[in-house]
Amino acid sequence: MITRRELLAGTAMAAMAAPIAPVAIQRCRTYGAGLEPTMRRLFDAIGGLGRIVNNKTVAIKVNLTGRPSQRLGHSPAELAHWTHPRVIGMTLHLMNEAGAKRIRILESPWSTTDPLEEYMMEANWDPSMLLNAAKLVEFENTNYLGNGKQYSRFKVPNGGHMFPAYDLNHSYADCDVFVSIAKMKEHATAGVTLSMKNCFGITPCTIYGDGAGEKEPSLAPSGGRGSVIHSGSRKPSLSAPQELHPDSPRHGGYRVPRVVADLCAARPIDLAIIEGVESMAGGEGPWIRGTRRCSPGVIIAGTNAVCTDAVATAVLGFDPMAKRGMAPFENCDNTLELAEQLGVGSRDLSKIEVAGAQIADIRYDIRKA
Amino acid sequence: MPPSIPLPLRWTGKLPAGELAPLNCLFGGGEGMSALQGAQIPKRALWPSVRMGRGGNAESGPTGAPWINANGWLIRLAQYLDASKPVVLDTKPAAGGSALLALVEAMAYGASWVVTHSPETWQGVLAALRFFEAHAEWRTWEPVAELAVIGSFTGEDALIGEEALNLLARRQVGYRIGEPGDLRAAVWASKRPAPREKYSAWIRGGGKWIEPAVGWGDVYAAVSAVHLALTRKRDVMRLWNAGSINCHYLAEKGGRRGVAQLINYAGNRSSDDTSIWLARPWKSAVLSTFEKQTALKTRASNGGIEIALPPLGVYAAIELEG
Repeated sequence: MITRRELLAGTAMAAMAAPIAPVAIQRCRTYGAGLEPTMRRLFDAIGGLGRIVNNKTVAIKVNLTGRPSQRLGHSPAELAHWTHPRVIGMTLHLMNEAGAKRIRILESPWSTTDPLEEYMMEANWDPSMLLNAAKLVEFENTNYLGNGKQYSRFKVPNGGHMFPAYDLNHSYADCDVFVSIAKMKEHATAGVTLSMKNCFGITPCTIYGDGAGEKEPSLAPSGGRGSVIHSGSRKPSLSAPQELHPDSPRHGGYRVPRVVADLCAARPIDLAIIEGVESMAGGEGPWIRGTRRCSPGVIIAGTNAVCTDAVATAVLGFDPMAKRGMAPFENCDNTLELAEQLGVGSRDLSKIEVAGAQIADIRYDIRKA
Repeated sequence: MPPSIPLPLRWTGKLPAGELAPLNCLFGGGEGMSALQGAQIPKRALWPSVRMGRGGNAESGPTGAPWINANGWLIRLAQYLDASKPVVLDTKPAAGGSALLALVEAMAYGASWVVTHSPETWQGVLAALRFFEAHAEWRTWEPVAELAVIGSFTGEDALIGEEALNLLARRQVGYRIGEPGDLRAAVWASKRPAPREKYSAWIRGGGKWIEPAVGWGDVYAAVSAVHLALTRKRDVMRLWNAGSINCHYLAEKGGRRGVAQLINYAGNRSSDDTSIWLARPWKSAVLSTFEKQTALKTRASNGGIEIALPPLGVYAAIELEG
């Protein structure tokens, strides 16, 4: 699937020294009283939150994929495919303690311009719990223009795999620190959902969605990103930068990992948090056949998204160096490899310092769950 | 609403053998028609079902939830416009449709359906009729609601008002039609100027008056805006994995009993893994079907209770107390 041009470009980019940062792992079996000390240890192990968020505006992309009205069996979304609100709330609390000036919670909810708070309530969350967890907390639905006057353009360093730049909601530009809090789970198209794949959802569906305007962004998002990103059967709104290689494969397993890698190069993640206390196996949401609840019992964090995702991939029982065709990338390219090629970070476990628990001790083979 | 309503059997010249109770009148054959002379028989009633597209798949709206052909709103509106006359639905069985669904939909909303005898469905229909007659008091209970829908529902307001009622029900928004009374919010479902002054005392008392900023040109958008203005904080119930289910949620006025009636428009296809949240923290819940009663385990959640439901057939009632 990789062209000679891409191979050469990738090799050249990979030759650049990919950044490396320590990754912390903590065993965490429940969302109860033990969560706070666990998350304190987690952040302390990567140098503390103060150096990252003190006096900063922090934007947090949470992982609330799919419709709130859909559950995996009877499980509330946060016990299967959504980031748990207690993990978000504890992060807010600890960031507040560490001096964060303003914290903004971001997500692109399915096919709506409704405020994020309303979306959360539909899932039976109480957003006031999050609003009260730090002194200044805001929410923004980033699936459309939102509160901004215009979309912000993010150029992909080193050229990009799929698009040279992306037009996103202003919230991803109007922050000092960008945090991805992902659920640790598999993904039917991209192999795994970790901190980088979570950022697939920063693309506004008004531009990159099935109902996007042809020339200009639509006013409201409609549908998912199947036609523009997964299958490439239509273009994003012409106001946005267009594909670099329109003759490239029209296949989600080729396109989605490249878009994710591009996005994480264009809008780097300053803090990656991967929540796998309770999760699901077999895919990213209840709409995937054969999915089931599982309990990895772990939280992982790091300041480099590729390093953090590499460790999480290994915790899930996979090899982050795996090529296409090997688990969990049987039908897709390896997002970590593609991000590494763009210089985002290293996926080489031999170079990544792991603090707290060790991979071997905490390993949870999600394919056997 | 009268606890006693006509329960008609379509007259075909030959009555089915055996006990016909609680059916109490005949429809269409001349005999026994007097019982129905005072009834409202809405001509616009649809055969209840999930709306199917040309390709044989369920049609869905912008949120992905299936469109359903439902009559609950129509029954409630007819009852509001003339509370003195019982409502009877005279829809003819459609190919592949569920007669049981037609019956339970009408009766869950306090109306009746003209029963057509069919040997295949007869025992189920009789069981359903007996069930609803055993719970005739539910017809006197009120919808659990936070929102009043106000409008004339006639002339050029008819389409707006009717579609608003239909879509609010589909969003599981608890509403009552008419004066706001003790409700927290009211929506003016009309393109005509709102008579705010009539409700000024209620508004001064804390009532929230809603006129969707998007107007009523697109009723779907307007109803979404109404729900947003009301806010989901005012939801009286929430459902998950309930694609083709509507819930008619009632409570005894000033009392300690309620019932959440779940009508599955997919007919005989069971709905699995459905969960429900009720804002009121009821103390006990029992799932009643025509065959049996099962105590349900409730879980305190978000100020109310949440219940994981077993696979649901065409109808189930969650009987609530406390």
